Amino acid sequence: MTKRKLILGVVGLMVFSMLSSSCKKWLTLQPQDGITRQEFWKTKEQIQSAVIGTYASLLGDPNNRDRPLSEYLFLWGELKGDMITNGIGVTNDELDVMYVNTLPTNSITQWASVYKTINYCNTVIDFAPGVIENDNTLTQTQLKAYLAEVRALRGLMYFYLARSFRDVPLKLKSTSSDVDLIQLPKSTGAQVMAQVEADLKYADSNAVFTYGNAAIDKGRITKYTVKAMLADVYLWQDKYQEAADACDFIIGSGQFGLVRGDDGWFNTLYYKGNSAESIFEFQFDQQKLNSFYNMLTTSRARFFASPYVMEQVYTIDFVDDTKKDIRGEWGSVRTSDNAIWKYLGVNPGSIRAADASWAHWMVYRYADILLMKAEALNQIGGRGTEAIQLINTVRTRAAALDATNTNPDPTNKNDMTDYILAERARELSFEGKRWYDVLRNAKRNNYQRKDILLNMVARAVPGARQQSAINKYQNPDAHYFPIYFNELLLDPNLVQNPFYK
Amino acid sequence: MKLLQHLKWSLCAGFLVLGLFACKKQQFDLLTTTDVNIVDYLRKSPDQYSELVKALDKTNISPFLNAYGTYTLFAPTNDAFKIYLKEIGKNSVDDVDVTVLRDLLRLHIISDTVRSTSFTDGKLYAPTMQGQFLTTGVVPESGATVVNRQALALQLNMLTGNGYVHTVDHVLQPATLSLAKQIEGNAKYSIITQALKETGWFDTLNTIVTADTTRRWRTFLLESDSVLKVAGFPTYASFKAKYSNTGNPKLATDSLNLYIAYHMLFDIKYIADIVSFTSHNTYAPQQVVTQLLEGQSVLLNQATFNNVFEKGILMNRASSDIPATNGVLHNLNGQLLLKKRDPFRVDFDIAAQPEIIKLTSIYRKVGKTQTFALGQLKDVTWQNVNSTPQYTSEPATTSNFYWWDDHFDFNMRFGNAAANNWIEFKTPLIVKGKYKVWVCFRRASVGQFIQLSFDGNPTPKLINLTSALNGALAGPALEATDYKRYTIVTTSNNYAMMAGVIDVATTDRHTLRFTCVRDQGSGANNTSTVDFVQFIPVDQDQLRPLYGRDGTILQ
Repeated sequence: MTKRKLILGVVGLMVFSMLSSSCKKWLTLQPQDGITRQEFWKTKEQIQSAVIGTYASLLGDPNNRDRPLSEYLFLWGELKGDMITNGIGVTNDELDVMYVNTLPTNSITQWASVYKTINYCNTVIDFAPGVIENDNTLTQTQLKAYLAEVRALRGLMYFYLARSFRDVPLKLKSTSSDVDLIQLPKSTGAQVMAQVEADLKYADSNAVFTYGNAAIDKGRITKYTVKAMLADVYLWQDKYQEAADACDFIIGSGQFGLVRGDDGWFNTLYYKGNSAESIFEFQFDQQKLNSFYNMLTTSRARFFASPYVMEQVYTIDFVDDTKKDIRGEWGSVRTSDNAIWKYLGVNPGSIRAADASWAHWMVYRYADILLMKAEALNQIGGRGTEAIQLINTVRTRAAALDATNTNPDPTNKNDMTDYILAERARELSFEGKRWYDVLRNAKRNNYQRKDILLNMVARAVPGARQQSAINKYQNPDAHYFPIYFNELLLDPNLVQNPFYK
Repeated sequence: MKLLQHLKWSLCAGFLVLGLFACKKQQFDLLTTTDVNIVDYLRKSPDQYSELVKALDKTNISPFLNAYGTYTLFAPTNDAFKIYLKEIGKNSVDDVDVTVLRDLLRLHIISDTVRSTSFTDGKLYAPTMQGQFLTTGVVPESGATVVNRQALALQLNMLTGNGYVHTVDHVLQPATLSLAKQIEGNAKYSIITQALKETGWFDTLNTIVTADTTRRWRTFLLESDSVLKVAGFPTYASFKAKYSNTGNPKLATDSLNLYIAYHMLFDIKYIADIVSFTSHNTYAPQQVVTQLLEGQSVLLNQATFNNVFEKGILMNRASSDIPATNGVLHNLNGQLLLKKRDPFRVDFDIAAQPEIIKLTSIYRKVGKTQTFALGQLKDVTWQNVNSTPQYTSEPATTSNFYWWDDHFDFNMRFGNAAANNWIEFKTPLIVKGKYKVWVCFRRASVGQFIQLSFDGNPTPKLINLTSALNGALAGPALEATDYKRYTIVTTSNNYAMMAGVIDVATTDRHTLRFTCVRDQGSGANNTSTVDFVQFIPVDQDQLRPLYGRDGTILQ
């Protein structure tokens, strides 16, 4: 009897001790090495790190499974333009886009990296407002400022999509688990642009003017960044007065100016980055390099500047070699081999090392604002002289050559359009803007200036494919990318761009 | 007994188990892929391709088109066949003659995989099995692909196990008229037709050479009566009176005969092919037509001869690219003339490459140098990718004397696989004729023996970069030793050596190659320093003018 009791007692003790000591974590489902959403969104510091995370996503896929976003933006802006030519390392997909032969199987039409950033923004938009219940130190103003940043960023991403694909699905809710996956149909380009405008307007009223640090002001979105985006968005939608007003806000602020065109110009603006001229840049650094070094130099370089760039865009003064457009040789191009210097140089003549390839990706800078305003003024009408002055400011800084000054009649809208577009090509070469600039000017007033686009493509593609390319571009649908075939398989609600059916 | 009973049952159970598991037939994969080949792909959609499959079966094309290989099929739909059968007044493909049908279907097949991304404005790069080429193009606005100007592509790039299928909405039909018949059939070309007949070229353009495919194709550049009228020839009589110098156009030497021959290019060249090359051989012996694409305008024979600019002849793109059984026809907006040109001297400054001229801070700036990698200079190429020729603008010293103070240096070795053996330059335009070639260079104390070749033909004399001229001689006496001085100020190191007399066969840009045939070691010892190369017609003064450092030319 006692023996039996003893055994019972021992067993009971063992069970108790097992229950009480070792099994604590059996019943919790929280991961040991991470943090869950329920545990996260508690403090304003956490909002800040999430917001910074959205910017980090601009620099590239952390797993390196996809091209970095800046590479897509370069390819989308330049491949269809006329300023780059192919090197030995060019891929077939890249060549097909250059020759106006894009098929839905072309990997350059993958938009996943853009939607990834959009989803990060959506996550902040969905969950940040709940933090205010947990963290009393978070003010409404501060919360709205964070939301302004991510909504502006989301607006910018959709702006790129609307310009590249026109009709895309508008995803405005975050996806944090498989349950949240929804299959959206496409929204029209106009609907997407309306959403972009709404996001930017919200950001406009809530964004901060400064974060108290010059470098951070160029890497995070301020009210000035939002104004720059708005100016671009308004120009795209032919809202010229609004575009001019947005530019005026930046010009009138006195916070920005052109970097003086002296010997240190290139180094300040492109090598160091975050200059007084800059408004928003992707902040590559020693820890996170961009992908341009391998793309633009080395024996397997994929792209070079087209000969057209030095011959026609900047031109060369064969008589007096002291006369040079600083944006040409050693600004955009190393003329001995036509390498695209903007992302390679330290100073004229000295090149970066491969492990110093952290040239920032320029999204907006002051020179862009001046030229956007000139474009808006020209379209408003009656303010051509003012526009000429703005262009001259940019040209004077760069010591542009007389040969590129076409002296247009300020009242002649068409001549002025050509002149401004040419100046944008000179100033913003290889900054991922060329195709969008050409398309914006061509499509204005129901494709009144289709000739700009057709002349460009006639120049850019090889002679044997020229007529096919021109005939394709007669169709406005062809100005936008197809939806990548895999996206169509994943989402049956998506409808392919009719040109590519 | 009981044991036996047990045994029986267990045996039964054992066999049952064996029977259940053992006798399943094992499945092996007999094919490496489950992808269907072209004909099987077509069989899967009878609503679209049943007529085509029937035709392929009937003509015995199915077996090979369904076997492994690389093919491209332009597949007409059932509707396409309906249209075709109606045109020829038949009810079904069974009523069509087998040989006709086979020929027709073979026009739809290419023995290669051709994706739509390699379509151009002209012909596809490979011929069809029928022999003729197919062309592609794009319809403005819709952007649809048009094949052979006869059918629209409904679906492109269907990948099957042995190639691509492009679905088309019309049956493609081969050209049936020869070049000659095409021209004759159009009243707009009465003068040229008459000229073709009287010169005898009509028969040439009317035959199809099938035995030798290189001789099958020709390209003819047409001038309509209205173009010739503007040029001052309202009738054939006036045309003949002007151009036939012997009165007998049948003679190959008659200038009317040459006129027609000059309008005929070798091979089948659509405009897309014409714009891909800068010059094209014609049937007029050693005469080429040069081409320039300016924007969208294709200009023929635009050139500067001896500093005189000649505007090119515009091709009429809209009425060109007309296919025929043995070639293609193009229309010109002006009269293309074969001109007799006298040879003129060419001073070919090999340092003045277009890419180098653009380097304004280096080009002809004293003290500057620049090296170039293979591929950076479009008109210069060399054997070894590691070799980097150098442009140098030399500071003025007493021992160096270069025209424009600059020279182009390249390293070459002989019999050394790791080093560069030759370098090749594209010359400026040189008019047909006989020339002496002078290499103007700086002598080296140790240096190369160079063999020059012009269009692949070696010149008679080797250039020895170390050899000194005979200082006691001057003028014609020196020239007799194949040396001359070309500098305004006499120097001991810079002079010219004649590589020989060349016969320039065509008025065109040619290739000039420097090949090392004996070297003197590595490093600076193998550098050739060349100032420029002269092509001087044999009947002209070889000694004058002289050249100065600042670019002056002293007559």
